[in-house]
Amino acid sequence: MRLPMEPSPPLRLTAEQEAQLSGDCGEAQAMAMRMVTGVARVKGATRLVAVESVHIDSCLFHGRSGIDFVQRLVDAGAQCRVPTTTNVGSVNLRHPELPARSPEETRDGTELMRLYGRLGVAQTWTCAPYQLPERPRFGTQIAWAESNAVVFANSVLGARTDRYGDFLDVCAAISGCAPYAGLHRDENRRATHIIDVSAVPLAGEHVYPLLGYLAGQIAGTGVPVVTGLEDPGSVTGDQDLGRGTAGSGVGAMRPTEDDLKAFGAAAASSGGVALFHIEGVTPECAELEAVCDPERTPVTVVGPADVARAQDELTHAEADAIVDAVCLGTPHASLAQLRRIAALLRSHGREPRLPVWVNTGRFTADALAADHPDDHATLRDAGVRIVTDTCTYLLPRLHDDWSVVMTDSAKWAHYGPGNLGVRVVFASLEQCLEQAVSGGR
Amino acid sequence: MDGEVDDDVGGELRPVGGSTAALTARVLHPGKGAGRTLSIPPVSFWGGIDGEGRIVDVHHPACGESIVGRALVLSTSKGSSSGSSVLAELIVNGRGPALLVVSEPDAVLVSGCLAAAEISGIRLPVVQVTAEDLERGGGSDLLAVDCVRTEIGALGELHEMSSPHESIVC
Repeated sequence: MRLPMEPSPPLRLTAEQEAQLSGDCGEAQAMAMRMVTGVARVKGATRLVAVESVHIDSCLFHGRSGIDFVQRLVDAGAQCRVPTTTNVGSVNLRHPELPARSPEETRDGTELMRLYGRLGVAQTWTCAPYQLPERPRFGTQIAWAESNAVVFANSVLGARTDRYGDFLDVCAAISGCAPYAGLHRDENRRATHIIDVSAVPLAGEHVYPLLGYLAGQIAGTGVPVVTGLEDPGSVTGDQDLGRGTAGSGVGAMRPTEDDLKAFGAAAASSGGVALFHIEGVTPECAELEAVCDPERTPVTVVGPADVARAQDELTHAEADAIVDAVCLGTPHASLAQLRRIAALLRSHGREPRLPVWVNTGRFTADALAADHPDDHATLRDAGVRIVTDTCTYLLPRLHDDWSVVMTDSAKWAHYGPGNLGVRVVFASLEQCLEQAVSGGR
Repeated sequence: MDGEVDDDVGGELRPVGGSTAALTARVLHPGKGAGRTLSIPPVSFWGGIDGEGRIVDVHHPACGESIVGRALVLSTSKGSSSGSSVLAELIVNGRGPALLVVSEPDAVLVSGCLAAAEISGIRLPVVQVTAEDLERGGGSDLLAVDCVRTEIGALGELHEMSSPHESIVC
């Protein structure tokens, strides 16, 4: 019995959307709507959904066609219809002396970012737009690109976005709408995989990115739900130093937003996870039954051996390798993380002997300087290099004389070796800073 | 693009001998093209295919093969959504495949095709077939589509041809 190929169902547009598509609202709207309706038909959507915010990733340079595309929109007078933020680009606009891949990429990457800056966006240049003061509320429809931002918005904020990518993100911003398909729809937000972590001791905050890495391997592009976190309580947006004394485990403490950020970024890198649930923690999952039928959903039990294997897979350097540098803040560090780095450095009472690089957003860097001058001074005096607008794993010439980098980010560990040709040691934030202070081996 | 159709885009197929058949396909991006079949497992265009259209993912079984001018058959792409940009760049630079055949509605690939059409007018056809037909089409020597005027989501035909290699002119 062969299942025949079916045509897509009809896509019904409102009168306003028809006018946008037809060119009655100008060529920029028409171009954006050709893209949005084209992808809507591919996804089998029967209508579009109005979105309340957009996060654009197309501002990261991949080739001349990206410039040509946005140049057309700019020439046609395009302006975003909804509040829109920008992801990292190829260049640190505040510190252009930091070298990108090549002089050509510095030039082209800068041109691309400047063109996006002309579309009426908030020039945030951060991969963590959920750390900005204005962020989507539970249940709102949005169109976000950047895999870690998508998974955070869906999972932690309970907003609704499908995975958007190059070209379509900016077209959603200009048209104000997106295909009503994928994770915009409630029925696609149910869990496909149960992951039982009750056998995992949560000894250390680096367990969350390791669990995320495993969740991505298990669920692929599906929707995992994690059960068995010991007494998780509810997620806290509390951005104070959080962890108590250095060396204490996570124990029964609630996961912070930074823990969930690390979990999601890892799951989106190792698999293609765009939404996860954690029982008793994330907003759509008060209990397992809210997101799946536990009797009919496959269960994977993750134990300490799996966590150890994940750590091994993310560490490519030999045990006695000499570490050349420490890279933190992937995704971009929160204010709490910057303050925690400062507190840990103060506790050591010595300056790092290794270079320490931390990526963060402009907003967060400015907030640290304005509101926490002591922490800001600690980082500055310790020689910690703050990178805004981009990410250290996009700046290969930064690393000309580095062969081994230590990081607390599963995402950095995943992409760093391919992008930069370095080997990675994955460790907790505390271990990273201990290494930085003690230096070398 | 202003919606006009350029009929000169795409290859012309002139098989000599051999057999031909038509598979029902859902058109995901209109266009016209023909090429020698290259059937591969899912690949990430970002990081997996270089600027010359060569598969460079060392873990991929087709590593080293060129997709340029081929009828590329794969269930779906995978990995980063920046694959849209990589595909658009290949198309605009004349390094794209002749056509794409998929069995899943791959929005990443289609976004790249839509963008390339906007900026260059080059229209890379993408069609979706059933998983069964993907296997069948992937086993034929040559594939062709001519769906320049078909709306996205409507049905069209994927022509498969088994014929001596020299018999196709693209």
